[in-house]
Amino acid sequence: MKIAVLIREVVDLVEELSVEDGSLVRDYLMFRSSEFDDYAVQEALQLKDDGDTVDIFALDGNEIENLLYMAKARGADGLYKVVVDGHEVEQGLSSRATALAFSKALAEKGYDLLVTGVQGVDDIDGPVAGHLGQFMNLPSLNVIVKMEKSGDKLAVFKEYAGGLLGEYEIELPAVCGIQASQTPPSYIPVSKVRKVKSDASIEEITVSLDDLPLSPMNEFAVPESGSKAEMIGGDLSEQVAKVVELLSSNGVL
Amino acid sequence: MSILVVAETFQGEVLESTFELLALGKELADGLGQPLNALVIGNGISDKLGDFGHAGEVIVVEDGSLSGFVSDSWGQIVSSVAQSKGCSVVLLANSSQGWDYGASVAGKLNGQFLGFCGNVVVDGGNLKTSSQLFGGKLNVSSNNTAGCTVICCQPGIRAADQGKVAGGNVSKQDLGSFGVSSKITFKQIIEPSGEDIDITAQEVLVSIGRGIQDEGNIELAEELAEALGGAVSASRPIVDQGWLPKTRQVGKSGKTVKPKLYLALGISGAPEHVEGMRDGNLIIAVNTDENAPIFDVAAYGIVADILDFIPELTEAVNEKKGA
Repeated sequence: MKIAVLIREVVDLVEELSVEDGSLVRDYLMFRSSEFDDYAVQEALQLKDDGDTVDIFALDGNEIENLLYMAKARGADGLYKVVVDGHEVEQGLSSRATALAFSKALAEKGYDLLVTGVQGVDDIDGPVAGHLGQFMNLPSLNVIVKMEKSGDKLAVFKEYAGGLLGEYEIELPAVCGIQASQTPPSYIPVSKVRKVKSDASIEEITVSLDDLPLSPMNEFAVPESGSKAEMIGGDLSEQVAKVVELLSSNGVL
Repeated sequence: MSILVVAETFQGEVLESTFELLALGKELADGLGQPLNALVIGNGISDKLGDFGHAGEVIVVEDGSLSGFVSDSWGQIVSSVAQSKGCSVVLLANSSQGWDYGASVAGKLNGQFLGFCGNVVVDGGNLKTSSQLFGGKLNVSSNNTAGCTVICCQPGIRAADQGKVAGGNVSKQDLGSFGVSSKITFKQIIEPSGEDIDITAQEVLVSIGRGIQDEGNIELAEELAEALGGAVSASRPIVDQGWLPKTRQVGKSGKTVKPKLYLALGISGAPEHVEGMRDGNLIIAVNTDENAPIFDVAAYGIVADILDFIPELTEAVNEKKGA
């Protein structure tokens, strides 16, 4: 089975995000892998048997080469960086534009299965998997937590509210949006990534998007923090004492 | 031009989120001066449509093959109906289903998909939407410019009760008329496995998130839960790491809980988590990030490291009980 995993970097939410005049201040943003793409890589690798390949396609970004090397260290095969001709990385791409770029990079490569994360942190215009399925005229299913081979098809398990799972069978080729992997993404020592970095090569694929789907985001705002919670100050013992008082007055203690 | 609400159905039931969408749809229909219709897809649902009175027409597509959700079948039916009705707006629930087929519907209609919408209003004859993105840290507004806007609405966008009005002019459409062909086959729904406590039945939940840092630290939360006579629950990352079973997950893809006390410890408050706990009676959140969105939901907030806070609170609770 030929599997392609599509990854991109996302804004690191550990850092504070700031807004000026309705726009996101991008100067000091930090980037990291999308956690759902990490799950997608992991789930694709667990599906891989002898003779199968798992190639990684990454949308160009600030830290994307490191993410590709990391995937290689985890067991991936070919590494590809997808560059959108004439597009500034710093501006980001909508998920529809991302899917269009991937669809052009993947055209006629004959993959049986395309896998990506269920969502990114700013996917206001929907899941990449859904758009990609439409662009490539392939069946797509999202919110997947488990994939298994089933003859020449794929058995997938889709998550619903309340922890329920829907079991499905998909004809290949197909697109899957991964919510979680059966096992957490494996830890890779830095030394192993360094070694991969010196040995592996990344192939660059440049695509042109004549009709670039624009992001519908037009005004950002930071929600008013603490608009509802009454903040309990003081040192730790004072904070704990106040919580105990609240638990008593609310009948918990 | 018209507005279409797509009902959220699951295992032969019409879910409450459908009526939240109908309440919003009625409001938008009045504001835009367009008719409101509803589309219900599923099996064994035609006797559950008594509260669809807001919709001028309730289009029902019912078939044994639709007893389980299939994304491309739903996508083909919804886009076909939206096209025939000349829809300017299609409202879906931001759920495992809506997220799955909504983007392809928007694509087929040459329209725009907007996800995670927490509010939609009519402003000067146009739609203005607001979505919570970046883990709930930013609100992003959008103006409708596309021919048809497919909007995935967060739970609670309007009160479900406002969407329930007796009546509804039901018209059935045969599945065959849509020419649906799917390469996806629904097999079955599987219940969570393994015996565990039911967190929805607990009066006290000590809920942990990434702030717990290490699997070995969960013991601290268990000791606090024991002191309070409750149980430990968690946000998604803890379950994804395999540190707690799926049965303990609170949120969109976990359980919805309404305990007497919900202690949110080291949980940032992403919308997917908040969806499952916002109706807790007393919510106290502890986080090192004073800007964490969880403080917008909690009644009380503390900026602290939970690894310092939890043992201190456990000791104080035990002292109080022993007094």
